[in-house]
Amino acid sequence: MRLYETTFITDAQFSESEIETEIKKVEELITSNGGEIVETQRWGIRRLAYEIKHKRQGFYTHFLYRASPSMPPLIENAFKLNERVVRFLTVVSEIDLEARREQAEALAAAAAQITIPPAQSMDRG
Amino acid sequence: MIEGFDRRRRKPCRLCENKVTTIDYKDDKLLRRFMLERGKIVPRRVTGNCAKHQRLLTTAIKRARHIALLPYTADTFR
Repeated sequence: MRLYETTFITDAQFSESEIETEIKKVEELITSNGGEIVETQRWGIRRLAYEIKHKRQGFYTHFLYRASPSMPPLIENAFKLNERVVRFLTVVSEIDLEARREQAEALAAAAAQITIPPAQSMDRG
Repeated sequence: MIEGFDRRRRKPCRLCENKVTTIDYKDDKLLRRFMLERGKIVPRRVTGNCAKHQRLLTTAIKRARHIALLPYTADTFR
């Protein structure tokens, strides 16, 4: 099972719920075929660097998931058929999950040691 | 020829120095620094990058362009 990253852009004029249904569709597609979703990120509406279908903004959604190699073509096929999705990209992820976890733990450990003095001694006025 | 050779020796690969292993195509702020104002990718001889890192960089930029995080050419869209 490899780690993949898929990003797709939907038109910004769709409502929250319509976009949520699209996201749910992809999630179900992954899980029903034995894939495992690590992370679903909703970047929200962003300005596009260039016009796509005469639009200057798009709603970005990003998936990080583990799946067998036969999975991405399924997802991409679904995107091709789906008018709401204007752009998509699937990539074999180079993210090192262990390293990311270690960094998160190291950060948490460091944060735990830092004791912030109570508020009143902080402000001068 | 000497002058050309000298410039390459003087400019180490910044990415190697910071031991960069992967370049994230989603990090458009970082990638932007390796692009010219018009949206073109800065050539290796200017950035001083080594071949390996320049290749990682170009693929990341091209992926970012595909999902409209970075422009193909900057004049089409102010």
